[in-house]
Amino acid sequence: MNRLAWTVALLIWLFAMARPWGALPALGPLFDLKSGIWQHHDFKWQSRSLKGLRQPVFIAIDRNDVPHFFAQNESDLYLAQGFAAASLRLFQMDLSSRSTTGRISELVGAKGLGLDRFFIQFGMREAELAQRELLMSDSVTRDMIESYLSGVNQYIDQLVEFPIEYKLLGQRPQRMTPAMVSGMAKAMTYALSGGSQDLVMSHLAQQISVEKILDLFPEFLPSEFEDFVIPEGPGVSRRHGIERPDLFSFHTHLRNLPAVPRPPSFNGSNNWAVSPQKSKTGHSILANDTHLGLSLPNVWLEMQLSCPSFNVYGVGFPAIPGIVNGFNRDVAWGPTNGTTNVLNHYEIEFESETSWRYRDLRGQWTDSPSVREELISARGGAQVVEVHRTIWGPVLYREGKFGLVARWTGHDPSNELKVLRQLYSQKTARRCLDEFANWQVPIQNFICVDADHIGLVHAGHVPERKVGEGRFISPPEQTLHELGVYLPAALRPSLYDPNVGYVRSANQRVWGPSAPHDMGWSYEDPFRGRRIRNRLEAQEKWSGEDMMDLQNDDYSLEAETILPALLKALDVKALTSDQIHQLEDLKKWDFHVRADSVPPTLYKAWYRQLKKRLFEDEWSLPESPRLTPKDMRIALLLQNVLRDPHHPDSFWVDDKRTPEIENLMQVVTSSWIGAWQELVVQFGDDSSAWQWQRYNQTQLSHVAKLPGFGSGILSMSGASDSVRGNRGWHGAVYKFVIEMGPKIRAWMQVPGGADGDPLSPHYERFVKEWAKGEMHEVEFYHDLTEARARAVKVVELTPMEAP
Amino acid sequence: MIFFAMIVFALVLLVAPWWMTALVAFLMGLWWSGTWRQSLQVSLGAGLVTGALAFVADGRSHGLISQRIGALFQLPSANLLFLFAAILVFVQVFLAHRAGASWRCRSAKLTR
Repeated sequence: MNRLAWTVALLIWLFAMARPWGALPALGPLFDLKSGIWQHHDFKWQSRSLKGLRQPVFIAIDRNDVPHFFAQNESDLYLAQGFAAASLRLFQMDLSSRSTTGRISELVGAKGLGLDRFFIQFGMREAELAQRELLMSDSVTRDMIESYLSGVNQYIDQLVEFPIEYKLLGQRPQRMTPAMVSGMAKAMTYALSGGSQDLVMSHLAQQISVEKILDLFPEFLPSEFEDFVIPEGPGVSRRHGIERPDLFSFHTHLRNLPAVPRPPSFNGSNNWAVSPQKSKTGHSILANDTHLGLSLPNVWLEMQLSCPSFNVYGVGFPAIPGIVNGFNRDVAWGPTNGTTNVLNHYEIEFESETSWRYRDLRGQWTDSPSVREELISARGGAQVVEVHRTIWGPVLYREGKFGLVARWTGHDPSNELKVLRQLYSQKTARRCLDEFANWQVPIQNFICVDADHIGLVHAGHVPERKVGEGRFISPPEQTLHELGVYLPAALRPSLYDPNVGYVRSANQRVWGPSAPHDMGWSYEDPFRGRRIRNRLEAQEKWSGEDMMDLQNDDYSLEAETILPALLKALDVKALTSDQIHQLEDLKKWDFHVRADSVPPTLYKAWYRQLKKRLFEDEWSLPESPRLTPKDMRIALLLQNVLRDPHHPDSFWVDDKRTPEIENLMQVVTSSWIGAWQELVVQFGDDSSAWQWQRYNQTQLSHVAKLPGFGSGILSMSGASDSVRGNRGWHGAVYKFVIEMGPKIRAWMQVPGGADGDPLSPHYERFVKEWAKGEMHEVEFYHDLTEARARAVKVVELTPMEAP
Repeated sequence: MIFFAMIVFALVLLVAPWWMTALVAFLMGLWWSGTWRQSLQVSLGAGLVTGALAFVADGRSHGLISQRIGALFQLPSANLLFLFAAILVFVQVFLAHRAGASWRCRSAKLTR
């Protein structure tokens, strides 16, 4: 090779090493021994000085790596919290707060563009801006945010080695603004708005009749299949109207409805509390576990915040100052997702296929929607997205003369940060519940307890709706929601010291048919809620340990409800000896979903096959391929058809794609054979290898889904419907139990612990303990003196001298 | 030559950005040595010292760098990450050294 060839080859090599290739980062800087992946500093708590502090702040680290902050004023407290949160979770706070405001591609490049475009068109940037302005217009929350950001940015300013994720993305952390806090608030609000089903139902209505939809996805089931957060009294009658097919005469003109990224409808939680009369301690006890996507680092950060105004312990989000769920000396609180539908879609009509003038509530053509041009500064090139906003909300999609508009309660600005701040110094459960009168989004079932009282409130803006509103896409003139009319706070569902001695919620329906107000129809199946109720009623007195045991309850009420019907309908004569052998194991199953047991796998695989066979011939929804009715509705279907083979529900049993009329026995039997074959293919002939932990593989993925940065496969019991919710990738990301009274005892578990650095030996702290169902006892220090005596380490943050 | 290259490139790798190895190798090829054998020795020295320094850095992080990044790049073994890092430097240094040597040959001809 000549001189030119060698030189050109070298230059090409250097060029290739200096630039990223698709998802692959630039290898030159990445493998740089001086500043690339090989350079890493473990985080260590150490004393230092910070600008903006007025007085020293002490951080005590306990044996569980939990930081306890002791400050002499609130501003200093949040500044120290921000510095520590950034030290532990900088990349996570950056990523999470960008995720729904159309800024993810700035960090991850082109693969985030689709998501960014959707959220911008959904109006998230305007919503985030309005939220930010509201938060910053309030002196309390402005001080919280500014102090917190000061801490975060001082950490970023002094960074020498960036977190590994930034190196892999070829990025460097930018200084944070208040948009981080409001963006994170919007992201969590959206994540907990999965109760909206009108788009999916409208898709479905293009394939099956409204009558059939109302039959399969009913507003209410018979009472033996239901469970409500607010129990129904005896002799109740329906107080609001009933959904009838004739209410839904409107059918959307939009033929190619878009698939939109929706949060899982099962983002939820469990919470329950027992009153002193049901407590072994003579004082109230609260249990709470939040069910979200399992991730490393954990979505929550555990800590104690103490200053002269309050002393509070709990978990918060790394991008938001303060604590979200927790307790002080007098009061404890914990939420579950309310699940009530707060996101509706409307069809609007434009004057022509090219015009943006649209028909308003009076039937008049009104001026074009306001248009904003939003920039996506994606890595590799900027893009402009036009956002068209009508009086009802942003236009998500347009097809000729018709458009789809979204109206979400999260579009309105709200100040939940202030509500949470008010909780820190509350003394009674009653006052704690009252504070939620100002809570707007996301709708949560908050339980508050003090030593002697318990209560629950369905907190948040519940849209006033006509009966059936929100079931399908509708024209906006048929709605109330778009007017921003909400159920008055005084009328929100609530309980206080009920006679039964407990309150509980698990994302099931809030109110029954006697409710004075239409709350929508799409809630989680009531299995977890009923199981909690059954156990609370079966045991007279409860302790904190009993509550933890219930949190780890792996009993499948779904299997108890469904499996007997499957076994009854099965034609054993059609099975091979191997298949019959497996069946015997299933018949002996006690419905506990243990990690190493096989029957849960057999049941779940069978039931999944059955659902597929029952409904895959009825509709085809590429964007919701697994849409099936709620499991309780399927349980009712099975019971109906078993009792009467000519019951109208037998319509769903027949496979419409075949000329024969299939009966339930045929479908159930072919499902069992199909499940058996699936398991043989997946795990081999030896059925002892069909353990639940292999079928339902549980792992905590990295927050940006980086391969190798997660936990690996864990051995863990529980299923989606057990109190110990476990969908493999989704489950109880945090667990909390507290015994109130003169001597508080509390337990928590946050898998992953505090340190969010994937290269830290503490990154997977508590993951194995969490998988085993263990919790650690909380160290709640009364003051700095106690902290100094009990903590593993105490560091001091001192005010930085002016230069 | 290998040991000399290891010392030189250890210093370069620890204090200078990643592309500096190319510049140093180019200059070495231009001024001191021009044969294929010398190019291979220099590249091998640079590759070996890269792998060794990466191994030490990984040890300081409890082996987590190679474990996580190896999995990210879907390497069958975490230890292959050191080899991968060494190969990247080996190729870069070899190309740069040959490029430098080719200019040296040209200079020598012009002088004659």
